[in-house]
Amino acid sequence: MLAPAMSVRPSLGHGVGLRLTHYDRILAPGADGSDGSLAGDLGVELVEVVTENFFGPGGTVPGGRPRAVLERVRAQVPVALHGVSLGVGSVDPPPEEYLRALRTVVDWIEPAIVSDHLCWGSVGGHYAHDLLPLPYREDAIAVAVDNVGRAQDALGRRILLENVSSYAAIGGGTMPEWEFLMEVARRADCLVLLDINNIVVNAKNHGFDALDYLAGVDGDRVWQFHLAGHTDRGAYKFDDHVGPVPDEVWSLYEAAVARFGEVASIVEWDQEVPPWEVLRAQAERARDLAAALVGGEA
Amino acid sequence: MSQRLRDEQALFWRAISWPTGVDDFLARTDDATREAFGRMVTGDARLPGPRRMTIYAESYFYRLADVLREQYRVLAWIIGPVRFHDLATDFVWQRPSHSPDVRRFGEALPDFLAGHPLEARHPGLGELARVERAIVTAIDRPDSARGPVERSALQAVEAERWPGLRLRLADHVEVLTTRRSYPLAFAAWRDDAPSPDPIPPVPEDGPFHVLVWRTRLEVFHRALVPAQAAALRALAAGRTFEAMCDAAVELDPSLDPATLVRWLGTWIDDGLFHALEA
Ligand SMILES: [Fe+2]
Repeated sequence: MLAPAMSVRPSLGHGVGLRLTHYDRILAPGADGSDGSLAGDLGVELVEVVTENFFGPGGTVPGGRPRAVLERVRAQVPVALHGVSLGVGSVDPPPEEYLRALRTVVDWIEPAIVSDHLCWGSVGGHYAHDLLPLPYREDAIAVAVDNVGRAQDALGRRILLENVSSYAAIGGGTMPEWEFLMEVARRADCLVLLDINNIVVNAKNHGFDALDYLAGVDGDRVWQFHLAGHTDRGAYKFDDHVGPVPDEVWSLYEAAVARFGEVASIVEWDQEVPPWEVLRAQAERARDLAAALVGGEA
Repeated sequence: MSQRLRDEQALFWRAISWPTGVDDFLARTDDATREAFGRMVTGDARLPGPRRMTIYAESYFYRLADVLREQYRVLAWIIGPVRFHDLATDFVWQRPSHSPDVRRFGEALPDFLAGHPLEARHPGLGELARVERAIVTAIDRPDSARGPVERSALQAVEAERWPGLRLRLADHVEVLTTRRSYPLAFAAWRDDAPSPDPIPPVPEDGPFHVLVWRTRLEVFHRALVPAQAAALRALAAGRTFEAMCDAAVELDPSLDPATLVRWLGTWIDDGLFHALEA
């Protein structure tokens, strides 16, 4: 068991995922010359960044622009570190150097949240840089539990695991996706980042009812939501994080808040990334919807 | 450890990384592999297994090709989208990523180009890629604990101490040498301009030198004359101001001390040095 003080879900609010296109917003040229100045209030309560973008050369703290950006963000709001390459479902455990680099960023930024995905991503030392699907089987649970344990031991804290979008069911599965997710979380004693959009995508791609998914999730472990858009390609939905959060995802978000209470949320928008203000409006909508449902102050 | 899971992941990897697509992979592989694939990826009438796997295969390729295009924008522009697509296909297939950090994926492209038919037809592309790589990677090199050294610090050095003066280059400073003139490509490049057709030949009339450095937030690059490159390399090797001057004058006997001091002033203004020892 890790950090009992962290056993109650903190109230971290609602925010957005920071992308390269926003760097200028944060580093507007300032009166203090090359060092720039803080470009005003970010206007969100939480900012999520992709962890590996802040791995410096050789596992150091990065310098230059990435460092300046993240330190400025961190000075304003809590940061969620969202990894994409831990690959807890890869049969080869995460390399020590990866865990050390992760630890370096965590010690530097002191994030409110550290997360990655319940998927696999590498085999034989080759990285796909994609979130690849696992079979919902006992052997995959065992691998994931082991690897989450390695990460949590290396960091000395609990991480959040995110459910991923998938396009193929891997053969021989013996349980639904939500049972697989919760079983890994329970046995590894980690937390859950529930991506609402990914549930909507998978409901279509694998033919289940999104509300059944929510019913199978233990709300105590859910510390964060992801909200995003996707593209309906007819035969399947593709998780491309393009455009504003669609109505279908907002509806499921409301159902999730009704079920679990208010949970920190991050809006992800990765293609044709809009200006910060447009993104911020999405985070405000997430906050307002939650407030209306749980009766908190907006 | 589950051997079944290991076998599935190895097969999944082979299917998505096959350069001519999942269907071709399945057509060319043996019966046992096809059967294993059928057991691993269960599809339905709406979306059969191979089509589901193709979604992953396409994501895999296009994500990595996009990374290359972002890191080698001038190269991508010079050779145009069709050749770049083919180059990316060859590179993704032959040099899969070995790092959890996707930004490192393209680091082997300059070396890869050296042995690629494209370089044989259009010599100089590998050098261009090497300069672009240096520019891209300068952005997050660790910050120096001290510095940058200011002009006032230099002015405070007494005249008799100048010969023994040492200026330490910051970690983000790099001097590259190419056989062809890289600035031609950079000067011609514009994001919105059509790619040159055909690719213009660049004569091998070097050496040329390029300085890559950054301030806290921005990366810069500039062509150097050979004597400047020699001077900066002397400083990079930890040699004194006097040795720096000797190295420069050896290449260009016409240089006067005032010119050398002026160069030093420019480099100080650029923030190239993080320590001064007099
Ligand atoms: Fe997500």
